[in-house]
Parts: sequence; structure tokens; C-alpha cells
Amino acid sequence: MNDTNRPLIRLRDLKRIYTTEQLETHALDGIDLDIDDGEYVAVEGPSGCGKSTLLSVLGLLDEASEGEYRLAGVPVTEIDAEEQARLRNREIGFIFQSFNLIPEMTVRENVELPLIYRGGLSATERRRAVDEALARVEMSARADHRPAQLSGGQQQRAAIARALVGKPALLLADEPTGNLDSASGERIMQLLDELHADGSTLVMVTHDPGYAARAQRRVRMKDGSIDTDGRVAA
Amino acid sequence: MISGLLLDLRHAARLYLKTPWQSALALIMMAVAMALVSGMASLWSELYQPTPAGIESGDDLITIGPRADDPFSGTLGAGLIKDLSSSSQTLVDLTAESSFSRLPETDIDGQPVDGQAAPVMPGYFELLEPRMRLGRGLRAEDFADDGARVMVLGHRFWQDHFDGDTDILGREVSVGEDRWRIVGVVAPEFTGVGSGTFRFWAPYNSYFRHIQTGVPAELLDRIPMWQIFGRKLESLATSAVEAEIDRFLGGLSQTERSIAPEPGELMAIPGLVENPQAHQSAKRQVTILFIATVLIALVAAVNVGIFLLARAPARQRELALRQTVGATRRRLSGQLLIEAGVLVLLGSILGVLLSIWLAAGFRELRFLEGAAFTGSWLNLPALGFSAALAAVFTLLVALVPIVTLARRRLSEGSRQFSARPGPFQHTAGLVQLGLAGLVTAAAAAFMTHLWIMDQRDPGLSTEGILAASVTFRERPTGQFQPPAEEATWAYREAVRERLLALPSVEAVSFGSPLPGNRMTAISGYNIDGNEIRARIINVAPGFIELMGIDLLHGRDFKSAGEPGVIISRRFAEKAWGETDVVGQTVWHDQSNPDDERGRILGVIDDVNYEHPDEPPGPLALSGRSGFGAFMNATLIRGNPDPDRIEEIINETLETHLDLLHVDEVRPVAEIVAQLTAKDRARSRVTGLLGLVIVFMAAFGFFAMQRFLVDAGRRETAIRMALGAGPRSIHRHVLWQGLRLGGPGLIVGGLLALIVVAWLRNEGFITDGVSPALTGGAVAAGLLALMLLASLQPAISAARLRPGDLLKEE
Repeated sequence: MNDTNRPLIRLRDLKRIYTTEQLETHALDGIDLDIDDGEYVAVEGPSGCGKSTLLSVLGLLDEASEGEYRLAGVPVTEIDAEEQARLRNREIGFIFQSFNLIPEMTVRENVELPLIYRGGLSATERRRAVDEALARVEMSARADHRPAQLSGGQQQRAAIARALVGKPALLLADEPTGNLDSASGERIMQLLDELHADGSTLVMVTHDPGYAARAQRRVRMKDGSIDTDGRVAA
Repeated sequence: MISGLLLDLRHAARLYLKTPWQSALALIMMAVAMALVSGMASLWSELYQPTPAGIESGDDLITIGPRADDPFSGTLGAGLIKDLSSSSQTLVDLTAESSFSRLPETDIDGQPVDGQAAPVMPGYFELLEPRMRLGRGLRAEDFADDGARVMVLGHRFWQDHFDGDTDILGREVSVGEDRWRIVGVVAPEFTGVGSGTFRFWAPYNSYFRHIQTGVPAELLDRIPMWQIFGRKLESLATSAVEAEIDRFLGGLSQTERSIAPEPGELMAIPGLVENPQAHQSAKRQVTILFIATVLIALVAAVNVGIFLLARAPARQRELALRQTVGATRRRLSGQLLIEAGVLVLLGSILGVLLSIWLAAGFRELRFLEGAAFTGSWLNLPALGFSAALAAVFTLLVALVPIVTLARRRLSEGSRQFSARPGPFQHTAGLVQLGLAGLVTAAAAAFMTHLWIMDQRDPGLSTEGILAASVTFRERPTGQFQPPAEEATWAYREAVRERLLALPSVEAVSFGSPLPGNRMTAISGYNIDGNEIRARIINVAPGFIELMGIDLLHGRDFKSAGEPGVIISRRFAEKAWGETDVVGQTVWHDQSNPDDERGRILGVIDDVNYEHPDEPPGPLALSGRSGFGAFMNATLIRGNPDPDRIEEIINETLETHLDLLHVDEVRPVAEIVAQLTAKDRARSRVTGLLGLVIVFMAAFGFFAMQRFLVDAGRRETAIRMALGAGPRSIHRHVLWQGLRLGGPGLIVGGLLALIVVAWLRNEGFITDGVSPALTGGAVAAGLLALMLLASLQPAISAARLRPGDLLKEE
């Protein structure tokens, strides 16, 4: 989908302003950022600096108040909610800190959900894709379990399977290890490393400098703006 | 204990005041529902066993009357009443009051008296035991063969006519040429059975011999002119009395049968009423409406439960906190019960107050005409029922939050509520839609019935025709002589000429009664052994054309008062089996072979003077003056000003028939619509109830969907993050609505089908109303309602900002 001369993500003077009766909060205040296809970017910064808001805007879960955002060349601020949902479904996979699995569904059903929304796939094709994704995160044995029957690490692996089942161009991870113990966290990070190694574009929000250091590029935010943006040695 | 209760009450008040609009809406719903229930319960309770005021005990009293809704149906003659009374095994006693109660022109002690008097049979005062102001009631000895001339005065008459003289007992007063002795005065609250206020009560044999002398003595025991009252044996069903009456009628001799109803034609109902058939019919209809209001109240209670549950997510922390500081589940349940109780109690009080106004309105409903309402606006049984219902509803509505909240473990205090409908939501959906289906089906059935009735061809044209009816300037006395024929014809010519001079008047004629008029005359004909009862319509030339009635054979009257009759198709077919019967005669004056009064001049198509669902009856149109032609309505086709019409007719009446003046000028369509006035009233009342329950069901369903959408915001956000667009979210919420309401939809549709079939079977609606179509239409309506009620929650769900929600923990 992406052409080689064009960044996968292009942000120009992007702003996200929350307005209440009393005050105006600039959660994002003029962000300029390009992320290329296949890059592994860690977004760091103190609490409230706007990194999760940035991830929400990148994932089309929230809308920018001003500025330009192009995803794979598509000006997402100009398309309607339905088209944004289609883009989100095909091009973006989410990994959340709190896993966000639907508790009433089994792991298999949770992983299958993005494919159902995509439409056009037969039940067999969906099943094959789900099996592949679960095998990729080593969760095949737990396919028929419900989230409440799994450990935190297992739930996050199921969430990663759901994120990558549709083979999206971009994976967005918001503190993916925040709710996990260190061993499980390490296992998840290894999985993300593997996904990157396989060619996935990854944008990860994290507090942990150790995990951030595993990314190719570290973007540090402060007060809604990008403070530093630097590549680390691969 | 008391301080705890006060604390809970204060907390409940604060809670409701926090969301004033929602609380007010829940309160209004409860109040409306309880008002409908209380009003209808009051009505039902009054109808259950009506006992006129001023009677010591109404226990086991019954009224016996004709089963048919026919003003010409009689009961039994005095002779047969006495026979039934002496042979009865089911009745302790039997008595009767004559329906010939209007006093002839008479005077008492020289002062004219009009109004009603009550000629009664023996046992009347012993059976009814009315409270007495002075003296005694009538006794057996007052009914001796020669009949004692004694009377018991009505309280008002005693006050108005005798200045409330307390020494009146034993006083003899002159009634016409006879002397009557006053033996008692009834208490003020007793005015007799029915709507009339009797001047006095007298032994029937003396009354008909000396005051109302129009009934020949030899027919006194034979004319079925009685309203019969009895007291049945204790603990015996009224049906046992009916069965005995049927056996009695079946065992009558051939001669007796000719003056008595057939077995099955008389009915017995509990209580004392003037018109048992109308009363029984009203009771059945009020029972249906009463059930409908209870169902509405149930839906309202479920809605209040939903309203309380909607607070659950917001209150879980508060209740968890109360548990951490030591509140037991029982204590929390008590608190929730009080919260629900406050709402239901306030709603019930408001409802009962509202029902004062509502119950009075209910009594005026046209289809309850003839029913006997006794007692005050809200009687004790009705109040008791409403209180019991309120208590049940309190428990019902409190149960949901109690089960949902109080049983959650402390550790679950901050956990999300399930976004999936639980047993409560499924039950609520079933109850709301099922009951809405039931009530709206009844409303739809009555409305469709009315629509079908309105479509039926009455056989005449009503559009653009005004009818000016006349009435007496002063009530005629017993010596009233109708005006001379010539005066009537002269009046007609004069008024016709003046009205036709108005540019907006196209045609003028005269005739009455019209379909929908209350007063009607029926005459019996014997044609070659065929007994035919026909309605007599007195008309002037031009009536047939002006009213758009089809003339099938022969001709209209050529001149005013022309001898001869014009009959209807039904009349002709019943008498001769064909319609072309011009020249035949409906009756002969044997002494005058040249008499043309019974000669048929023409045959018209049927005009329905009955209810549109009944076949049209035979009609005989007469142009002669003998049938009160001077009082015919003036019929005007055109578009004139009704006030001008009234002015012209009054001026002409003053010249020619000064005993009359215009009563009213109304469109004929309005008069004819009286035929379906009861259907219209039924349709309006059930329509109103249907509207209320539909609104409540829609609101309840909306609130439920809204709750589920709110509880499922996180799940919706996840779905959106995975690529669900607004349309997918809309579909998801609408589908959730369909699953939630689906069973209610099916049950509602089925109940609709059953209720319509039942209403049809019971004769409330015409056979033209299809249960399957109505059931289908109701189910489709409920589906639309469900989708409509789910629309806003669906739109709101699709407008979530998933970014914020998914960050929450």
C-alpha cells in the first residue's frame, strides 16, 4: 500500500485541543512527525505529555483539532467516519495496556472480530487467519478460553494476535507491558521485536527506558510537543 | 430504626433530586398508570354490585331484566312475578317497580305535580329496606285487593311540596279526586333505583286504579312493565337464579307464554340497576379496560425498575463503600426498597388524586350509558386495590436494583456492568412489548372496527345537509292536542319558501326521525301471516331525493299528507319476497274499501337506522300528519349559516306553530354518527390506553437500550478500534434491540391475535376485523417501535470517542 518514497505516517503541525468551559488544554501542540514503513518507534515522556493522545490520533481513535495527518498517503482528517473505520480495520492493529479483550467472547472470537468487520472473507479463510495469528503468539491451545480464564501475559498475547490477524501496515502499542509482571513483559517485548523483524511498522508508547531502547527510533514528548526525535543504533 | 428510616428517606430524596428530569418522568409515568388503575378500579368496583344510596344492605340483591339490548323487550307481568316469587327455590323474595313511572297530569292538594312516581309491588320496602326519614314503608296489607290509597313520600318532594312538615304522617291529601294517606317519608339519600327521583311510592294496584288510569285493570297483571328486584339465597350464584327463571319460563302454559319472554331471554345480575343489560354490558367493557390499565401499570412499574437500574453503574461505588463500613445486605436491600417505595408512593398519591378527575370522565363515556354508578368518586375497595398494587410494584421495582447491586461482591465494586442484556432486561422487554401488543391490538381492533363502520353505506347521503330539529316551548300537558294538519302544511310551505330564497340553500324538505335520533316509532304489520315490525319515518315530498335515498320502484309523495306509504327493500322482501310491490297494501281498513292509507306508492333502497354492523331493518315512510309531522326536522341541503336558518325557522314557527321553537341546527352527518357513538368512545378510550402503553413501552425499551449502550461503552470502543464503523455500531445496537425485544414481539403479536379474536367472538367488534392482520400490524408496529427506541442509543454509541475510553482503567 505504501510507496517507498512516501512515509507511512506524516503529521504536520498536528494539534489536539480539549476545550472545557473554563480552559483549553493543548494535549498535542503542533506535532511534525514522519514514520516510514517498517520503522519501530518508541514514544516516551512523562505522564500527561500527550503520548497516548498521539497514539489515539495515529490510530484514528481520536481526531486532531488542527493540522495534517496522512496515513499511507491518505489525508485521514478529510475522510468520513466510515472510511476511517475501514482504514483502521485494514491498516492499523492496536495493542493496549489493559488488553481490551471482550470478556463475553472466547479468544478465537476476539481475534476473529477484525476480520468480521473487514467482510469479504469466508468462514474458512477467517479461521485459517485466526489460527495463524494464534500460532504466531503461541496461544493456539487457549483459543476457546475466555479472557477471564487467562493470565495477563496470555491475554496480551491474544490481544497481539487480534492486532496482527488482519496483517495491518501499522501496529500501535500503548504501554503493552504496563499491566504485566517483568517475565511476561519481556515475553511480549520479544514478540514485538519479532514482529518488527518480520517487517511490521511499530509505534509503541512506553514509560520504560529499557523497552524504549529496543526501538529503532525514540521520540520524546513534553507538554504536547516533540522534545527530541532520534534514531538509536539497530 | 426510625432515625435509620429517616436517613434512608432523606438519601432517597437527594438521589431523586440529583436527576430531577428523569425522576419527574418516572414519577409522571407511575402517576398516570396509577390514575388509570385507580379510576378504572373505582368504576369497576361501583359496577360490581351496585346498591342505590340509602339502602341498608345490598347483599344478595339482584335485578332481573331482559338480556337483549332492545327497548321493546319486556320482563314479566305482575301475575307471573307473583307466581315466580311463590314457587322460587333460589330467591328469598321478589318485588318489582313499574317502568310506567311518569306521572300523568295531576295535582296534590290542588298544586300541580309532575315528574315520576313509583308504583311498586308487595315486598318492595321489605326487600330494599331503604332508610326512612319518617314513618314506615309500604306493607303487605297496603296491597289488599281494593288497594289502600297510601303513599310514601320522597324526601325532596316532602320538603318542596309539604315544607318538610314533620307532622305529615297519617295526613290525607287529595290526589285528583281521591284522598291518599301519607304513611312515611324516605331518607334524603334514597331516591329509588335508577336515575329518576321519585315523588312518592304507592301500591301498584291503587296507583293504576286511581292515578295512572291508562292501564286497563284486566291487563294490569299481564303487561310486562316491571323492573324486577329480588334477594337470592345466601352463597347462591346468580346463574342459579337464571337457571330457575328459565325453568319457570319453560314451564308456562301456552297462554302465559304469549305474554312472557322465552327461556334464556331474561338475565339476573347482582345489585339493583335500572337497565340490567346496559349495566352488564358496561361491566364487561369496564372489566376489559380495568385489565388494560393494570397492564399499563405493570409496564410503568417495570419502567421505574429500569430507571432505578440505570443508576446502578453510578451507585456501585456508593454501595460498595457502605458495605465496607459494615452495611449488611439486608440493610442495603431495605435502603433500596425505601428508595423504590418513595417513588411508587408519590406516584400513587398523585395518581389517586388524578383519578378523581379521570373517574368522573370515565362515567360519561357513551358506551357506559345505562350503567348504574353508585357511591363516591373513589370507594374503599378501589383505594385498597390501588394501595395493594402500589405495594406489589414497590417490591417489583426494588427487586431489580436489590438483586443487581446488593449481591455484587465488594471486590466487584468498580468492575464494569455487563453490556449484555441479563434476565431482567429480557423479562422487561418481554413484559413491555408483550403487554403493549395486547393493549394496542385491542385499540387497533376498536379503531379498525370504527373505520369499517364508517365505511358502511348508510343508504342515504349525509354530506352538506343540515337538520333543524324543533321542540316545545313549554312542556305539553295531558290535554295536549296536536296542531291542525293545515297549520303544519302551511308552516312547511312558508319555511321552505324562505329558506330556498337564501342563495346558499339548494333544497329543503322535512322528515324524522333520522338514523341516530333517539326517538323512534315502530309499528307492527301482518302481511299474509308475515309479522313485520317496521320503523315509521314521517316525511314530506322531496325527502327521498334530498337525502340521496335510492328509489327502486314507484314514486315519491306528490303532496303533503298524501295517503299511502313508501317502504324499504327489506320490508318488501320480508313481506312479499320481492321489491317491485308498488300498489300492494300494508294494511286495510276493513270498513273503508277505498282507504288508500296503506297503499304502497314506492319502494326505496334500505337505509340503516340500526347500528352499521346490523342489517337494516324494515322502514315505512309516511307522509301523513298523524305521526307527529308538525315536529319533523327541517332538512336543508346547501351551505347556509346555521344561525340564519335558526332565525328563519323560529320566525316562521311563531307565525304558524307557535308552540315550537328550534332546538338545534346540526349537520345530518353528526346525527347519523350517533349510531356509532359508542364505538367511537370505545375506540377513543382504548386508543388513549394504547397510546399510553406504547409511549411507556417505547420509553422503557429506550431506557434499557441506553443502559446497555452506556454499560457497553468500553466494548463499543474496542469494536471501533478494531475497525467497526458507525454503521456497524448502529447495526450492533439495533441487533441487540431485536434480540432483546424479539420474544416480546412474538408474544405481543400472538396476544394481539388472541385478543382480537376474543373481542370479535364476544361481539365487541365486527367480523371484518381480521385477527391475523391486526396481529401482524401490531407486531410490525412493535418492531418499528423497538427500532425507533434503539435508534438514539445506536447513534450515541457510534459517537463515542474510543481513544479516551480505551485509556481508562
